[in-house]
Formats: sequence, structure tokens, C-alpha cells
Amino acid sequence: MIDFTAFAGATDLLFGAWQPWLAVPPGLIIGLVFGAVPGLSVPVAMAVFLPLTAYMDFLSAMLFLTAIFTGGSFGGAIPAILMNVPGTASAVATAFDGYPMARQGRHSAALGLALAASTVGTGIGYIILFCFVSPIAEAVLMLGPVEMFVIAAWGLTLIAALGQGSFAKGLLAGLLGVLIGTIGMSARGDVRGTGGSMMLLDGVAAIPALIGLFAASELFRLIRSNYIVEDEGSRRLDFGAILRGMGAAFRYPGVLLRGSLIGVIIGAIPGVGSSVANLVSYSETQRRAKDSSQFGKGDPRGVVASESANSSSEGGSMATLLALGIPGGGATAVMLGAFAMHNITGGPRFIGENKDLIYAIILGNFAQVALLVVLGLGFVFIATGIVRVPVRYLVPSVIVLSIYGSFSLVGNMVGPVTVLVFAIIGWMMRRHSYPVAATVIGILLGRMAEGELLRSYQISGGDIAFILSRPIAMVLFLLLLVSLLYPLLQARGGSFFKRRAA
Amino acid sequence: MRPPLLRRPADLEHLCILAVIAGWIAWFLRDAVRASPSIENLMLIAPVAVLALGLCLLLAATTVVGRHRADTILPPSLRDERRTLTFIALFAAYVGGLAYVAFDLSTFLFVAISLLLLGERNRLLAVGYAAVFAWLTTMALREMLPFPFPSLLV
Repeated sequence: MIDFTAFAGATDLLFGAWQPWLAVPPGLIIGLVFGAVPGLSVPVAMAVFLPLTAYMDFLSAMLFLTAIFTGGSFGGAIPAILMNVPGTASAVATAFDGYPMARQGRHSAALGLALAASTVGTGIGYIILFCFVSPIAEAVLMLGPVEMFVIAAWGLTLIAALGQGSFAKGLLAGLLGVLIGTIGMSARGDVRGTGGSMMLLDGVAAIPALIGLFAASELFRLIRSNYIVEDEGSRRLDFGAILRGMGAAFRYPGVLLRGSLIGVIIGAIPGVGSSVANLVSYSETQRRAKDSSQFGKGDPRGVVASESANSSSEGGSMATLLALGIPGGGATAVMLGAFAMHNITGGPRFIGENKDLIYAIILGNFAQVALLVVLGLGFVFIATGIVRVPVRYLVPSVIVLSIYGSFSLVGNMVGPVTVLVFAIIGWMMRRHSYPVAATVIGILLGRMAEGELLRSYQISGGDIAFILSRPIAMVLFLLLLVSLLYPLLQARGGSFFKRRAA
Repeated sequence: MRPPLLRRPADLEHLCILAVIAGWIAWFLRDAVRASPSIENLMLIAPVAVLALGLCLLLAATTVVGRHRADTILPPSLRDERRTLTFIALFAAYVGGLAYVAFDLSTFLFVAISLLLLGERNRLLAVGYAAVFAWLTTMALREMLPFPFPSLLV
């Protein structure tokens, strides 16, 4: 599967000139900054800096853009951990355990865990891309709406685990999110729940909604404190704790590997990507854990699971972009713009004729991973200073950045208004112990689930037996069932062996 | 012994929230049926809405009969949340100001008033920080976005 002649050509391209490498450090820093500011995101960063790539050769342009991608994938974890404000939808699950760790004064360790998981995830993603770029792309073409629906349902099952003690409240919060996610025009053209407003035709803006539900509502609660970390001793900047956190990530090799594989597979599917991958990885890790009682309260495995998956999904999405010319999400869509600026069309012919260039991009990304460790450490060390900023300065500043971010994302006042409305909803929900995370998951996956269910129904004509003709869907469905029943089987198995031992 | 329902404002507030959620779900379901009563349109919405309405009823009944879990933590009363409610009102005014006044001025006012509301005693520092922050962020937004937005100085 590896073409060694092309590989030699790739090393020539990369190491024959120093200019392509110049684009990497600024790309990583831009990605880190844009990922860390709530509302701004990797696609926004790429779009802002895309015109610069017109003055670069194609390899430099791709290294620059993938560096933004890599930096941004990790950058989103920083506000998720420090302020419970996921910088992007792909860092939602990072906040579940990262923020409780920060509140306990373990913010440095949590950021170290996230950095290590991100770098390992990105590395594994690109190793898999390096070995299987063509087979991944071919497999993606075999996925239809039934398979996509099963994947969306897999993500939605996490709702059940987020009940915070009340299963009914968790389920209601999730179902409410699913319904909110279906507001607007359906895939069939039916308009529901817009109240006649044209602004809602495309549905509720998901990112501003999640910023409101997660971030603003948490910030409203935070104003009762003086600092994010109340214990003054835990507020100091501790480089050693970040490094120890990085080392701690390797205590969970299974979680790292599983998260990375889930990320690559889901990241390769167009329209799904890292925002689903982190949720599926988190829910799988929680379900498989022998002791899952600490999830949601600051379990390091939650951070590792989420970050390894959202970072490795970059490799998956690059596979579909390079091999098929299909953008899997906003970031790869902007990359496709860079392709067009250099008169290049992605796809099987591009891979066949430019394998050395593809390998050069992949090898360049391995170097980016190493560089992310260095730059990420410095960035994280500076970012941990947030815990020393008084809440009275932090809260209005973060709210303004979130509002500006949502405005830039949507392009009009719908973004800020959505943040406001969902901030109030989120605050009321939190007051009565409803898990806002379940609502966020519902909003993120509700529209996708409905669209894929509708397409499955239309293709099958309503015949449930249709699934029997879709072997991949059956395998995915069985995996989902096994995953759901795993905790039960584990408990039964454990008690069986205990009885036998007695 | 559990006090009667009306003496627990948190329960009443919870019931109001459930009523609003249930009302919205019922309206949404009706709107979806009005848009198209076909299976294709309702295959996800109808079951989800019916299940959610059932859960609203269940949670309302649980609240009324007082079957709380022993470890249920009641939220602070709305009277104790005056500072938070004032801040939310300020936030709403800020979002309104963005649309009808100007980004830089609204941001300056929001940050300055928030700082004073949240306990900053040095007024000069509050005003100075708000001015610099509003100017920097609005200028960065202006540089980044290709479309216009209202501002006074930037």
C-alpha cells in the first residue's frame, strides 16, 4: 500500500528546500489562537488566511493550512477545560471532565492530558492516512444514509449517560435538543418551528447555541466566585504539572488508540467529522470503563478519549479530501479552495499522479505533530494564566469574545441573539440540574439523524428488511448494540465469576 | 416533614419551566403536523415529541408529589440570584445594543458596567480596561470580517 518511490520523492520535496517549513509554525499558532477563542474556529481561521496561500507553492500552502487544522483541533480544548466553553463543537466532550478537573485545581494536568492526546491522535490519524489513503476513500463511498443514521444514533446514546442522577431529566434535555435540532426546513422541504422567521429556515445556528448553553450559562454561575479555581495555592502556573499531565495520558493506551481509530473513521465521513467523533469516543470510553463513577467529575480518561478522537479525525477528513476531492467539513472545504487557487482537483487521478506530493503533505504533518508539542506547551502554559484572572474581568471579556465569534460565524445578529437565548435556557436548566450537554448533543445530531432517517426511509420504501442488504449498517448496528449492552454484560459476567469463586 | 408545595419556590419554578418546555414541544409538534402530516416529516419528530411530553408529565408529577431524590440540591432562590439576574439583563441589553447602537460603544458599556457590577472598585481601571478591550476586539473583528457592522470609532 506504500509506494516507496513516491515516498523518496516526498522526502526530496520536503527536505530539498527549507521554504515549505516556514509556513508551519505560524499556521500552528494561528490555529491555536482561533481554536482557543470561543466562536472562532478552524474554518474561520483558514478562510481568513486563505488569500495568503496564493503566494505560496502548493506544498507550502497545504502545510500552512493543515498546521492551522492541527493547532485548531487542540486549541478548542483550552477554553473547554479552563472555562467550560468548548472553543469548537469538536471539544464538547473535552469539557465534560476537563472543566471539573480545572475547578479542582488540576487545570495544568488536564491541559497536559489534552495536548498529549491531541498530538498522539493527530499522529495516529496521519499514520493511518499514510498507509490506507485509497482504501479509506473507497470505504467512505460505500456508506449510505442507513449507516450514517446508525452513526448519529451512536452519538445520541451518550445522552442516556448524562443524567447527573436523574435519567428522566437527562433524557428530556436530550430530546429537547433533538427537537431544537430539527427546527427549520427538513431535507424534504417541510418548514417546521420557524414561527415564520426566514432566519430559522436553515435551523438553529448550532455553534452559537452550544456557546450559549455551555459557556454563557456557566459564566452566569461563575460570577458568584472570585476565581475559576477558588484555592489560591492551586492557581499557580505549574509547567511540571502540564508535563506530568502529558505523561499521564500514556497510562491509558487503550483509550488513546480507540479514540484515534474512532476519530479517523468518523472523520473520514463527509458531513460528520470531529464534532461527532469526540462524543462517540467519550461515550464508548465511559461505557467500557470498569469504574465509570468519576466520568463527568474530572476523570482523565474523558479528556483523553475526546481529544484523541477530535484530533485524529483530521487524518480521516484529509483522506476523503485528497482521494475523492470531497470536503468532509468546513475546514476541508476551505482547503478545497486552496486546491482551486493552485489549479488542482483532488480525487483518484490526483492521487495517482501526485503520490509524492500526498506523501510530502502527510510527512510534513508528522513534523507538525512534533512541533505542536513544543508550541502547544508554551501556549498552554500562558493559557493557564486564565485561572489567575479575577472572574469579574474574565466573565465580561469571554462573553464579548463569544458574541463577536458567533457574529463572525453566522454573519449577522442571529448569532449573538442565539447565544443570548440559549444562555438563558442553559442557566435555567442548570439551576434545576438538567444536563445542558445532553441538549447540545441533541442539537448537534438531531438534524443529521432526521435527514439520514428520511433518506433511509425513501431508499428502502419503508421496508425495515432493507437493512439486511446493507452489511456495513448491520455491522455498525451490532457494534452499537454490543456497546450498549457491554456494561450490562460486564456486570453480569463479574457477578457470575464472583459467584463461581465463592 | 416536607413543606407544602407553595412554600417551595424552587418547585414552583421547576413546574413553570416544565410548562414552558411542554408548551413549546406541543406547539412544535402541531406546527410540524400543519407543515405536513406525512410519515416522512414526522418519523423522528412525532415519537421524540410524544416521549418528551410524557417525560414532562412524569417530572411534573414527581415535583408535585415531592418524590425528590434524597440528594437533590435545591437551587438558590431567584431573590438570592439578583446579581446574576441583573447581569443577564445587562447581557440582553448588550446584545440589543450591538444591533441598534454600535459594536464598540455597546462593548465598552457592557464591559465597564459588568466590571463595576461584579465588584471592581477602581472605576478608572474599569473604564480604562473596557475602553482598550472594546477598541482592540472591535478592530480585530473589523480586520477579519468581509461584511460591515455598526461601530463609532473603529
